[in-house]
Amino acid sequence: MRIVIDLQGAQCDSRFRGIGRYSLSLALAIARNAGKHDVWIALNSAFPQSILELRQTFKGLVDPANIRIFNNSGHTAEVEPTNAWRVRTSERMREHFLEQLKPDVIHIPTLFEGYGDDAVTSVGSYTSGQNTAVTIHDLIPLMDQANYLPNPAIRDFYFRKIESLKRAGLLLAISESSRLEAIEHLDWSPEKIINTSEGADAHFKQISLSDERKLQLRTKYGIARKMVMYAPGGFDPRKNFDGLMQAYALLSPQIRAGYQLVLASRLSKSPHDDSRAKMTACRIQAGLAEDELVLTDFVSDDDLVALYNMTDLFVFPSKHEGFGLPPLEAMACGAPTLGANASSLPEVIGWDEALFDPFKPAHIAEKMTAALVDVGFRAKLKAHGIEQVKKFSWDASAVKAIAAFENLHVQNASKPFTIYPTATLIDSIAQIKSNPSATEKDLAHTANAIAFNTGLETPKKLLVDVTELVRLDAKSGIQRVVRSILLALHQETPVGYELCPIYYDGFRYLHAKNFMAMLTNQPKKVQRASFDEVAEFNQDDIYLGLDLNPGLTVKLESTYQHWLALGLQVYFVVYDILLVDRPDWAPEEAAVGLKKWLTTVSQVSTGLLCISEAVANDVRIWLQNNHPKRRQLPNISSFHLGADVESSAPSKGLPHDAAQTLKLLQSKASFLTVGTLEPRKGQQQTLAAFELLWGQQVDINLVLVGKKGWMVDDLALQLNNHSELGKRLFWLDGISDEYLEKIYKASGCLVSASEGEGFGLPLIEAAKQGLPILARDLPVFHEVAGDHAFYFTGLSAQDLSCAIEAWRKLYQNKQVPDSKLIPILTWAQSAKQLIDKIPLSG
Amino acid sequence: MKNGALLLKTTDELAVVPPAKLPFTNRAKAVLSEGRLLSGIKRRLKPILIATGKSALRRPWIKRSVLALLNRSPQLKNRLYRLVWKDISLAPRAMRIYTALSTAIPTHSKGDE
Repeated sequence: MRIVIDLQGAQCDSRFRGIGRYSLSLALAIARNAGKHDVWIALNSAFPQSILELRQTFKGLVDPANIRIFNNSGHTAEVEPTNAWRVRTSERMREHFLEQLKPDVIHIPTLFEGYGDDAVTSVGSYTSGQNTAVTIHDLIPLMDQANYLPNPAIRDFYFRKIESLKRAGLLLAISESSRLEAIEHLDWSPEKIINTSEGADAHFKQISLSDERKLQLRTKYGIARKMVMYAPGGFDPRKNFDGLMQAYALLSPQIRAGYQLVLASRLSKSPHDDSRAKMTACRIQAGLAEDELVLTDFVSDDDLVALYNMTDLFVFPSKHEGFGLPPLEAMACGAPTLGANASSLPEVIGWDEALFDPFKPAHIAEKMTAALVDVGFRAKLKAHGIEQVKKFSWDASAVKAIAAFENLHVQNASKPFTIYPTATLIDSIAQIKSNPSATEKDLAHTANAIAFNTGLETPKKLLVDVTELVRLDAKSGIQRVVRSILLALHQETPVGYELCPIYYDGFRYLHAKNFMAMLTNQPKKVQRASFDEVAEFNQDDIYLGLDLNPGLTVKLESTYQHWLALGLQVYFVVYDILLVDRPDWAPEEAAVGLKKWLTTVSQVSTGLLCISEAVANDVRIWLQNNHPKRRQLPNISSFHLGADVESSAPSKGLPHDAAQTLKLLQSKASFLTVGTLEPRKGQQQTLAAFELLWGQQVDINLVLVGKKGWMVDDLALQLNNHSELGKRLFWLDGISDEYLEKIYKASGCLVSASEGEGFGLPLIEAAKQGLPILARDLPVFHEVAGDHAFYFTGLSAQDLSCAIEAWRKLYQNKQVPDSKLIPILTWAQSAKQLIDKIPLSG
Repeated sequence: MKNGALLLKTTDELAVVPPAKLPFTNRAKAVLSEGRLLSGIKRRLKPILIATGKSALRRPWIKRSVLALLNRSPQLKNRLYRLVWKDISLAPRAMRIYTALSTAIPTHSKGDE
């Protein structure tokens, strides 16, 4: 049986209330006790932050792929009458979405949501509702309409929900009392409503508190004396504050002198409902001194547990409750507990001696006096509470709920299961009559939302971000990687996925069809017909930030965060983070930009795919020192790059003097360095070392291949004016891949004096040509080349010139390490390594 | 130099000597020589076209016909949508749903929520 739980109650404003706690605790318990049943969670995209938290909460209990997100058609809070069309449309869309999940039973833990926020709940607006179970908490507004349904908007909202409720196939009541209320006031059939009760969360328990902690709590909440505590969970009239304060005033002066009445709940601060003012008026009317009443306002769960453990007496005088979770939680913490003998509270407290008549302050005072004066009675209350609480647990509630779901499923088994097509949904939306009607923007939002909600119908997509490459192929090393991996993925897309290269055009992501047609050398006709349309995103898709575009990534942080919440997996490739530790290697803005990029991707990614284990280690260390503000860190993994230039859409073309240059290189031993001219790449040290060797009459060539990068103006000037330029020194700027391959073949050794690299692609390109390698002693070079390269240390010209001389001696003795033994990947293998690090669904 | 403005090319320089102060014929020559004539016409016509388009598209039969036409050519569709409904950018599947919704549901305006 597939159980789909609509968990908006743990997302919307109610998440701070008992209803939110109920929704989450029961859902967790259902997931724990599901056995052979399949549990799915449905969440509303209007509350993105809560989605991430809930994904984390259900980790290990519910398959992440079974947490499904739905969109609605925009703002739907019913307090705003102009939202009417969107509310009704979203109700149908949500029901349509839930049906797509093929549920056997849908459970809505709280139906009365969406008046003040964008939660959307309904039963039977679009589907029959017969497979839907709704939890009924209480019918207090229905029974006390004068107090609880004061204006027509709330009234309409409430009665629409009641109509929805009546279309459900099953009701779960949170107490026998609320079950009986439903049978009486909704005329509900007793067989179709089950009391599943509630439980106290495990963290509500007896704890020992240090004197320091007690003092800290007393200071924080202004508690100076011993406590009589009430945690009402709200400040509406049924909570009986006036009765409690009148009763407190009836206590003897000796008792009152030793205690304070502590009300521990969040205070409403709205001008028309100022809880503090109301409580102060109540206190004055009852004749209590100012210091006899403490209003704590919001209390965290940890503090609440501590206060329950500290209080001498917990009193719960509410005249009407659906269940009454606070007395159960107080008893779980060992607080002696008294409560009203009204509605559900006798079920919860379970001992007549602990009950009083909430309508008689004298009776409340009598019980309080007994509890505060009679040590024996207080001990009995405490002992009883600890035993009583064992009768309630979320697991027990979940087992009852699952049994009720099974019955509902059996009853519905004979009924045909229908998934309505999207056209039916559109027809249903078209029937909605509301004033005001929809706007063009509403229709666009709705269309987008329906497309998202019905995403299960479409193939999953591997969205590869190639924004930088589409904008300008600067032929940099990174862009060669992007091109090569993209082509490899195009050749072999992961099973079950569709490759979708995308780019950001300044407003949104577009599907880079035209670019792809050009990259894969499609005929001109096909290229012209490949028009870039807006890219579509669904919750099973994978986003891969293959290109490096720090500015854009930082700008789109909230977009990626939103995708993460929606269920997309978001990955970024990390080429290196060298500038984070060595900002002196680049202009300030580049280093700052990279740091911002790293901060962003650590916040918004499912995982970071590093191009070597050395980079992965750097990232892990950085994350340890710069912990992102999220509960779950991104997964860090690594893959290696490929070396088959022919698979990377290589650039072609030879300069007019190519033959002459190649001839000169072949005429004597040529040492090659490949890479953009930058301070960290070590070209300055290399040139200085060769100047020393040339001075010592060593007749060898130095070939520098690479464009002029940043902060090398002096080096460029030195090279251009060098007396050996064109004789034994060659600087080949911006050459094609075709020419580079010939240069590799014409050279005798690759020198890599770089002080920091993410991978060192030239090493494996050289290895592919069998070119021996002389490289700096960096971890990443060891990772790539192992023992098949000759390593050197030191930053001076002397250090490198000595290393070259040592290498030449080895070469003469045919003892240089053989670079052909370096394991080399093709780009197809590299892309496979990358994809293997991403958990693919289905 | 009387006709010096003709030689001016950059915005900064134009800001120093506003072309409006030159005789009409000289301004016209400047506009023609710098290829600004079409861009000026485009700038003036574009909002008129958009407003006319929006107004016409409020009529259901025009809207239906246009949407049917647009669905046949993604290229044309994207261009027109960018022009007329700049703030509505939809992926192909959402666009098809939007078309169906648009055809079935009369809207009151293109106002904000």
